[in-house]
Amino acid sequence: MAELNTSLARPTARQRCLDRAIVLWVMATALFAILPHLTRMPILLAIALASICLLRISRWYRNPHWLLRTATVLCAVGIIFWLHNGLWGRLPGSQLLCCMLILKSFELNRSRDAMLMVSLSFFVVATWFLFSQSPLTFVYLMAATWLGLTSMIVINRDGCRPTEIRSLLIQGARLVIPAIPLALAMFFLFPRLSVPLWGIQGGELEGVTGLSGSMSPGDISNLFIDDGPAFRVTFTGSKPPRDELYWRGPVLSRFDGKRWSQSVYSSVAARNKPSREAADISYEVELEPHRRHWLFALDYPAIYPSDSRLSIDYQLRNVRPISNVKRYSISSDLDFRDNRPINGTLLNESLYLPSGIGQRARELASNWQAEYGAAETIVAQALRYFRDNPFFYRLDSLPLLADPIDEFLFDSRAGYCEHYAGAFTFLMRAAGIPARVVTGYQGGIDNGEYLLVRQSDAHAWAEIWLDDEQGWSRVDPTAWVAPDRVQQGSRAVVDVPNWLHAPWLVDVRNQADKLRHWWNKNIVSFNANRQSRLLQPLGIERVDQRQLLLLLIVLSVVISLVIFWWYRFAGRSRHADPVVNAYRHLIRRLQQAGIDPPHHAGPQTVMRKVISYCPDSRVQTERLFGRYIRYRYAHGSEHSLDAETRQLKAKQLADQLRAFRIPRRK
Amino acid sequence: MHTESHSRLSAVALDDSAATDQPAKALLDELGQAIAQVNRIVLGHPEPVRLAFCGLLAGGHVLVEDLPGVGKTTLANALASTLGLDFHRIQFTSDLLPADVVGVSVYSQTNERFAFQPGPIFSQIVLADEINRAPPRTQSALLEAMAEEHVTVDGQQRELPSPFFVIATQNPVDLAGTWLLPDSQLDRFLLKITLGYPSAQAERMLLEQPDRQTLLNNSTPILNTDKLQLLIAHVNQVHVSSALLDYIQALIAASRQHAQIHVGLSPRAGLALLRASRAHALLNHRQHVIPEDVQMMFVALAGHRLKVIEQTDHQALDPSGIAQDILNTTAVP
Repeated sequence: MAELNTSLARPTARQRCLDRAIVLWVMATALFAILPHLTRMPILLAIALASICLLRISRWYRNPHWLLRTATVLCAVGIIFWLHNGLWGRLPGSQLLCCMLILKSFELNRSRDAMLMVSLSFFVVATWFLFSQSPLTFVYLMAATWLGLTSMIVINRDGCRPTEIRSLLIQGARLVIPAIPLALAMFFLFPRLSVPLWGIQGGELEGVTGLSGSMSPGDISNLFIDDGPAFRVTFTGSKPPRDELYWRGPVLSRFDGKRWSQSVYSSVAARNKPSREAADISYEVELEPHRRHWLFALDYPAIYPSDSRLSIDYQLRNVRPISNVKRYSISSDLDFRDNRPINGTLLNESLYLPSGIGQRARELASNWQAEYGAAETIVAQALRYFRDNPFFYRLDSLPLLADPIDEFLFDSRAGYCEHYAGAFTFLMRAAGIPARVVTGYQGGIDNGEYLLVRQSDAHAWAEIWLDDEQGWSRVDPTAWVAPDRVQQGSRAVVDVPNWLHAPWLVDVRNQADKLRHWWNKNIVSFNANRQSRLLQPLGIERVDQRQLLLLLIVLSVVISLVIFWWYRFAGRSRHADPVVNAYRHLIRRLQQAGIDPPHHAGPQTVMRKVISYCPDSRVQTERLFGRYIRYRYAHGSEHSLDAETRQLKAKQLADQLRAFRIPRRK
Repeated sequence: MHTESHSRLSAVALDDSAATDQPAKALLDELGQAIAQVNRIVLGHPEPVRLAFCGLLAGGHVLVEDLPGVGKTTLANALASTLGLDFHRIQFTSDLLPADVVGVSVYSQTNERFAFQPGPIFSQIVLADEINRAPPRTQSALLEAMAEEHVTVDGQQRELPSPFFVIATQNPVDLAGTWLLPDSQLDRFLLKITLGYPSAQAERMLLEQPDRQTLLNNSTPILNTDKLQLLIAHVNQVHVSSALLDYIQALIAASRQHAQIHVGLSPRAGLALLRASRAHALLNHRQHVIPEDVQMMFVALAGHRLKVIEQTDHQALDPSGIAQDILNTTAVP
């Protein structure tokens, strides 16, 4: 009687409170899901969410009063609103979702709530793709999915013991792995829109480094410590020599005494462009997002993407800021000269010197002008000045405070490329030669099939206007002070005692970048256009969206059938004994015929089922199953036969089992 | 239904022309007659009767657990009278002492020395009735004798007769006035049998027929010590194929991995399962064990050995149900 009572009381008891193991699993899933988002939150909010998780799993936790719960939710919404001036957008939206997920744990009372939290965790994990699409994100997402599915198993089993964690995780993996082919089919075949469904708002991707569009001493040397990739280049034809690899970026013509910045005319279109025919260097660039407009190219681009513009100072600017990995093809003409005469404001801007600084430099330059006269000679004299005086190329130069030009040229004489480029341009302007600073990247390392250009390859050089024939010419004063910078890359010239740059570590990083490159090339930049060309290897030029959908449906059905088959039959590996295989085949046939012996039934039970299904078949069924039972279970006893006869009999029996006609019910 | 399939099975098994060294058919027939006689006395429980015979042939002891009045004692009495063995019954009570079971040394005036007076345990079949009503000390005396097949009294070891077979009965543990048998001692019983209520038809016959005691008094012994020893020797010769050993091992392993089991089956339980399955095969006139033999014995053998996890809401799970669950989820090799 007592047993009856407890068994009746059981469902209500289960509804009333969740097993502690379930709470632990669900909270672990939720915490794992919000972990990447926590890194982007204000530290106090992140700590608050993490401590709610800890509070919920502690033993002395009790559900707060509903008034307190409502207040917490309102407080969370208020904080997010205050942080972002609204709730609309990627960052506030995802953070709100994280808060709501964790606050839901105050209502984690029944298995329904647990299921809801796990489902919501899947959604939170997916939102992380709005911020990052790297391979690591993908791996993280898979892990989170695995954890979530395992939690669902735990919820459905009504708890778990520590010793079972391993087998539960294996069960979870068995759910994740068969879904991968289906997910791949969806990824490649689900019809894509050629324009994004919603635009991702700019300005939220903070902490992205790169060239900024202006330059003051120290800007580029700060980039030196950033080992992240800037872009990757794959040359389709011949590759130019290393000292020609000047990747042109922002051009800086204005100088206010401290900062170099862009010309006000940089939005004006280029006056003359290199001809397409002369462009002999073709390459494809995979640009990491830097949230600005520049595309990097070798001088001077002749063929470039249609959504970008070439400005009057030959900056290549994309219409929209680069917020995702962008792949583009470019052809450059290295021999082209921008020699259309400059005049008026452009000329003034290229000669402008701010008053009050660089007095000694001005004197030096006017001496040269008076002594040599011709522009080429003055340039040569300036470069000789850099070479003959004790100039050093180093990162940790002293800050130049009052007068960056004179202090550098005459006192400290130590600096990074931006010091040289800036000082050289100043000297040229003081000597009456139009000059400007160009920033960009120089060189790059050969990483197998592509050239990897890192942030640390950022560089600055000068351009001077010589005459109407030669036009603007590139002069790199750094190359005179530290030729290795151009020949071997930035690492060659600066002593880096840092263990971070140990050769093996650099190698690991290069391999990781290869993976990223592959990922960007094949996964991230897979778009509607590439989707329509998906079947090109099979000889089908283009597939439209309807065909894609049809293909997807067919493939999904096929994959589902394979998965179904796998679940149903994969556990049955082939046995070494042909008789056993033939018997298992017979059991499957019986299952298909509707006799349906369970898999734990022994042969005698199966035999009885067959006979009760069709009593007429009794004699032949008994004979066959009797033979099988003796073969399988009486083998090895004193009555067994010699090996040869046995083998012969085994073959006979296997044939009989396969030939057995399943009787029909009358 | 059951006897029908039984006869069909023996037909299947015995048409094996290669079989030569079978126990004499007459002996097996006598065994069949013995089972039939017990079934005539204990109405409506053919399955527990077969299990009891299996336990006997496997050389193990049997625990019969059920509510009062369903025929536990009748089953034990019927077995004893049919087997033709020397029989004693001990009624366990709360004041029963170990000496009441194993015997005591009494000073004899005539010989001027202590003489051992053997207790009721010195017989081939011992019916320990309501074993869980005796205090643990007395229970232990019996259970030790079961394990060792000898008793030690006054420092002297005395062998028990052979075959030595204990049928213990007990009431369900949650009834008042009982002492729970410890797990280690439960393990001494090869099988635990439950009878349950008889079917309507059997119950009707029970009411119609003369008193059970009369039937018991009228029953004749069919087997004897020698025949039983011979049958037990034959049990050990029943062949077990490697596929079947795999099956037994898989069942034992599954019991240890089951989610609701705290302590699974021991290797000793595996050996016991093997022995009981052999006995079941012989009972069905077979010289080899088939998976069905193992399946028939498994629940009775594992039910009292499995330690179930205590649920959070103090809900006791039925170990026999879990044993059946293990059977249903383990594939036959």
